[in-house]
Amino acid sequence: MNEFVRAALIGLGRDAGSAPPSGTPIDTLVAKGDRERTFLLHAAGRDLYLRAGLVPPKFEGAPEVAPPESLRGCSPRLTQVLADAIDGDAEVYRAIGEAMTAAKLHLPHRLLPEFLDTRNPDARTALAPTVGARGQWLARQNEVWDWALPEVVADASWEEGYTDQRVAALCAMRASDPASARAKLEAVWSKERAEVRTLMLEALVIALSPDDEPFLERALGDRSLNVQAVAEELLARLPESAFVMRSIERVQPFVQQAPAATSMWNKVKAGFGAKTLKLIVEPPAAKGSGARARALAQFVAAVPLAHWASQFDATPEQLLEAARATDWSEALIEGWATAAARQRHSTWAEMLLARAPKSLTSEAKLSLVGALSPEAVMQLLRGQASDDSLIGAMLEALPMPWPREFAAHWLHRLQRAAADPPDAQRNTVASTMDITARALPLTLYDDAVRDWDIAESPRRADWERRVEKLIRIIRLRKMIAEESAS
Amino acid sequence: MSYTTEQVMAAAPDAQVAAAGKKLADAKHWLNLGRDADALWGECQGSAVYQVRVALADLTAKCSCPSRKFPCKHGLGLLLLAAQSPARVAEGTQPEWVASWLAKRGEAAVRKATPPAEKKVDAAAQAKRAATRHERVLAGLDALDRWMNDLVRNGLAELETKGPSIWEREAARLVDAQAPVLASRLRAIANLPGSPNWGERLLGELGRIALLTHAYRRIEQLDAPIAADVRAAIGWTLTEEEVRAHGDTVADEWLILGSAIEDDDRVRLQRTWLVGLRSNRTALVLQFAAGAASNFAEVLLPDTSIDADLTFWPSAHPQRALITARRGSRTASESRAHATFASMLDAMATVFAAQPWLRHGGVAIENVIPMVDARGQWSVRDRDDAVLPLAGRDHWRLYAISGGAPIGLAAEWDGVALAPLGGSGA
Repeated sequence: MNEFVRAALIGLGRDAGSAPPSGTPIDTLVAKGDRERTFLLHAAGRDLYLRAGLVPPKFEGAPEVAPPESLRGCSPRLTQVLADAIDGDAEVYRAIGEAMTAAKLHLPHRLLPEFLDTRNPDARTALAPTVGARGQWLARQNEVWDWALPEVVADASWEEGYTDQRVAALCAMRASDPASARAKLEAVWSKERAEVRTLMLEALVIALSPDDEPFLERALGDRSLNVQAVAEELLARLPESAFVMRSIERVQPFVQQAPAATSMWNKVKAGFGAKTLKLIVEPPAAKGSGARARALAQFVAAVPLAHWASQFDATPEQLLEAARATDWSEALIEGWATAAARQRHSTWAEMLLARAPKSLTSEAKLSLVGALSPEAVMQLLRGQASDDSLIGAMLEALPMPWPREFAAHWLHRLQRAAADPPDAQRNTVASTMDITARALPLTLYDDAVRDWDIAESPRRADWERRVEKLIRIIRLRKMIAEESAS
Repeated sequence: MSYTTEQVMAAAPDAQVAAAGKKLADAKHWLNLGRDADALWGECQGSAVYQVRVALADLTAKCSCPSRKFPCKHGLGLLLLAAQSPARVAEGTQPEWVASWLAKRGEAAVRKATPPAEKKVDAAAQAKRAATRHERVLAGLDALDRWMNDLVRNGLAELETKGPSIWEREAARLVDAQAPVLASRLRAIANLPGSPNWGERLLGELGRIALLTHAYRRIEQLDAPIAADVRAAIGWTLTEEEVRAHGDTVADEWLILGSAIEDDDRVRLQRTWLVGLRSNRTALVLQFAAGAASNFAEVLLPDTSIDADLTFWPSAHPQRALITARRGSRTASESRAHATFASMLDAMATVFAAQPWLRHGGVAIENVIPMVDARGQWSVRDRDDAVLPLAGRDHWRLYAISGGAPIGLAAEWDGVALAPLGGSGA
């Protein structure tokens, strides 16, 4: 440190002598006064001397230069529109991310810090493909933004990260190279704790294939019951697996067809082609009927649904009918529902949702929605009595943008709901405004942004807010889409 | 003139008005829209019909609504509408309610420009008040000098653990001694102890204060311009009338470099830096707004230029100025940026030599590259690879715009670091 500054810091009082000179020629201009005063005036001179004569240091180091963009940039007009849209609303950010991705545009550079500060995970997922080369360059230099990097899941986070980071890394590796991801998991398998093993094994659901069977078979013998359950669940998704074959064999004694009916009436019916399926269900022996039902459901869940149809030569509806005639219908339905969700069997899922909703837990219903084909989802949503609690999940399950005809139907349903006081009270309908805004095809733009008739009701203000947001999002999407077309 | 929506949004008094204004920027809310060379107008259909007019010379809006915010959402909405969809606002003839307002504004401007009739002032009483204040200030400066002498005698090192209250106490004494500007200067250095290189910087600041007290005692012997600087640095103020009457007026095309806003809960202070395209003079326009609801009287948008008369406060380096006449604005087509830091520092050295108590000067430098190091310290380098620090902890926007490539920077230079102005890097 400079002697002069040092003297000021430790204090002139420590030393009886005179204060040190500032080392600048300005000192000579200062009239001699008492020691402290002269020192301060020297300090003034020195300060000005240093400011006036400042020579900045030279840059030494490797310059950081962002790589060029491969996506297109936005026009000044769209940049301004996006700047105005920055208000932290996750749905708006999602819509922007989705529309920009489809339009192959990158976010304007000047707005990147604000978008990168987004915390909502859904918004991040939608925005990540649109940050462009500049956004990734920034994210590499600011760890808070590393969600925007494609290589977040680098080897480093697999080797050294926290559990959630490691699972995320495994999921990403699994998506790009399933076999090597499995090999990496096998390499650490014996060293991980049971909870970690459970979470990591679940990641194998991504790109699951018969190649995974040997590893999953070993996991069936794991010490942890949770790990075993995950392994069973995954194996049940592989229709050719030995586990599935064993399950079929195992379940066979428990569910059988009743001997053919001998009554005259049934013979007559059979002669006309109508067949009544009758099942005899005898769950495996266990302590208490609850445990027996659980075991039966578990066995049934592991069996491919096609097996029942071929074994009993019956449609899903006939099987459901037959199950209902037994004492174990709830267990059978639960097992079938689990199987339908795992096997993504749309026909079964649709049939169960339509015919057995009362026998299904809400969790089971949600997982069945995931198994439905888009056509089935739209069919169910068009039905007047569609289950309120599933509407959101069903809409989420549809690919975006929605088919025009369905989208028009849904938009009009919302517009009717807004105008009709009793319907307007239903939160589940109102809450689909956000996803509608994101999923509506732009060919319905004029329909969507026209003036909405909103009923006088205690929720009027809420509807107005939702409608305004829907229109805002659709306008944004249209502008972004037009930009890519121009 | 042409202006961008971003520039209009910068004029919004608060976020609420900004949001409401955006909603009104749609032709469906408006009747009888029109424009000519001087004004924009329209009637906004809200809970009532409001007549909204905007003078294009300075983008001042006037509305018949009862809002006390300025501009109100209707004024902002009209400006935005005209910026976004110019075709919706057709050329037309001013309705009477627009013409009469513009005429009234014209009269007011003339009144403002002509000095008010000599007020009867009791010169003797005024001189007596000034003499009393001078004595008080001198007594306050004596006490301050004793305190500063004690500081350097005991050593500045101990300040690091003492906290800002000792500075606050001295500042309060200076306010009592009627030296309010010097008091705020003292408050401003209270946060230095503990910051990087604080010993050196604090010593420099104390030195400059010592130089100021020294100069004030000798004020009679100083040249008039530097004497004016010393008086201003203590806290003697000139009224705007006095500045109009005695200040130096420069007519020019003034390029707006950018603005910095200081905000405490009660008052917002905006410092806007301008450069005369013909005179090459730098000017600083200070504007105050009380509370979040009110706005700054003059709308000064970065990267536009205004054809205006600026009247300068007397000084050895006249910098602070008042807009005494304003004729119109346009999008800037020229720049007055330094090519290198060396050129900027050279110019600033002359400024600091002429007026050692200046806090900062507004500068523009072209082709600089912002950088951040691993500890989060920001800096910029120029085309000669010279490096200067940036004040503050968050320059990510500037960095995002640059991406490691050269950009233009408008900033305040205080002799230590560059503090980027709002709108910089555009």
